[in-house]
Amino acid sequence: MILVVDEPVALPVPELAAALDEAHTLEHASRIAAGFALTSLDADVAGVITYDADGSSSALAVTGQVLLDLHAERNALASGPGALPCGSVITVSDTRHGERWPEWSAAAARHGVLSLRLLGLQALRGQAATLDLCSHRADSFGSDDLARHMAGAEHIGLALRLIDRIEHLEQAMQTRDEISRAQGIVMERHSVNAAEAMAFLRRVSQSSQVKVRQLARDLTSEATSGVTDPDVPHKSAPGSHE
Amino acid sequence: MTAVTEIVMSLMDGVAEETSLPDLLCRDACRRLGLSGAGIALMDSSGVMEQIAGSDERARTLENLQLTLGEGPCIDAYQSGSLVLTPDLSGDGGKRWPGYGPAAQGLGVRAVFCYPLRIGGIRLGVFDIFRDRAGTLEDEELGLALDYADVAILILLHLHSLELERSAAKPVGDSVRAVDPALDNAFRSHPEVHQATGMASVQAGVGLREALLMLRAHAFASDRTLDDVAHDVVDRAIRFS
Repeated sequence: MILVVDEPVALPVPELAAALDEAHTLEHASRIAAGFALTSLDADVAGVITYDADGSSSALAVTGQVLLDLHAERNALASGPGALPCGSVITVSDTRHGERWPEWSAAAARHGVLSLRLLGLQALRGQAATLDLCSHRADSFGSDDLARHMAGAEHIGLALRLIDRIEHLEQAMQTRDEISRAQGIVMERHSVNAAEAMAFLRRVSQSSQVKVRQLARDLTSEATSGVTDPDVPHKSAPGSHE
Repeated sequence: MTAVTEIVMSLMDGVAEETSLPDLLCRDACRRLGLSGAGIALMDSSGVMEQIAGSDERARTLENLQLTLGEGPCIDAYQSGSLVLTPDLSGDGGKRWPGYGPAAQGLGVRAVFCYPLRIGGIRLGVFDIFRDRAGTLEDEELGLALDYADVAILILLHLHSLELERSAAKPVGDSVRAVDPALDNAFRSHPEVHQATGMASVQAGVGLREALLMLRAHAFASDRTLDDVAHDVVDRAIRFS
């Protein structure tokens, strides 16, 4: 419903929306989007890439190893096309004659990628993101298909951002509930109230350098299996190490 | 104007009142769809529901019933990710839920329709609507209710983002549950069901899933809500051992 928009540029957007309806994670949705880019945006290899604050890239999804190799080269060289504002485009028409990023371009050409187009998406997981299109031929990405590619990136960007948001909220809720259950386990084992149990979890977290969320996960997965004797390994009082 | 635009326009006019956006959405859906009530709840895979909005007390009671019983249309809609349409609770529809069916009818409810709140395969909860008379939703009504569900998702995401921004600007407090203040502020949460589940699992030496079943069974047997029983477990007025 939310993803379907009338589009003057010919793009199978309803198919994209239908395919994304199966997505269970942002990674899964990114794989679907990259696949869509392959079939509908004329790429030989495509991927969804995010960039941390230092500009280092990592892949949410790629359709071919070569795009991972290109980004590994880029991160190693600290040179090459990368993070873009949403709606911006970089086109590299022939990596054999790359002037802006000579070393990276030479590496890309060695890997058999002769032209690329990077399209800026909405931020994902709080990081800049691009949709990368690669071709084994030079000059694959011209001005005639620019509008269509930008429209495709717009749809993909909005859809992925929506999934990013809902995944974030869903995981936040799960984590919070897991911590509440862990709190209950500590309350019972150590005969303390909710606030003391929380303070206990925080103290253990600080002294053991393990996040509260991970402590809670360990405690509750132990309880879910239902095999441990709740009294034996946990005689320690609040404040002591577990 | 698209249907979603109409819904959002209608909500914008109500915002001035002292009512939350999810509550406004439920009331607006009731008005335009001729419903007896509507509610929004967040859910998890164990069927624990957290009420976000309800058009009236009865909408809240209906959701609470499912939280306590662990069965009902909302739980089915969440778990299947599909619409659950029950145009007549007094027919076969009601038999699907031996506890919920008769109890909902006892409240005067005859038809219940539940929409999962989901994007792709990721589920947040449900939007549930009901009527005091039996009868199916017309195609147009089904579609409009779906639009309300879409807007409900956007509102939940919006409320969460707002609080994330607010809490990012503030230093982390040291309250009992300062683990995720954004979530707590966006959605009044009740941690006691989860805390009581953890406590009961240690008391009885059983897994968490079984502990929740014990809490529900206790609530059912004593004709109380799961919330009440959980409160008593946390207060150490009830023990499971």
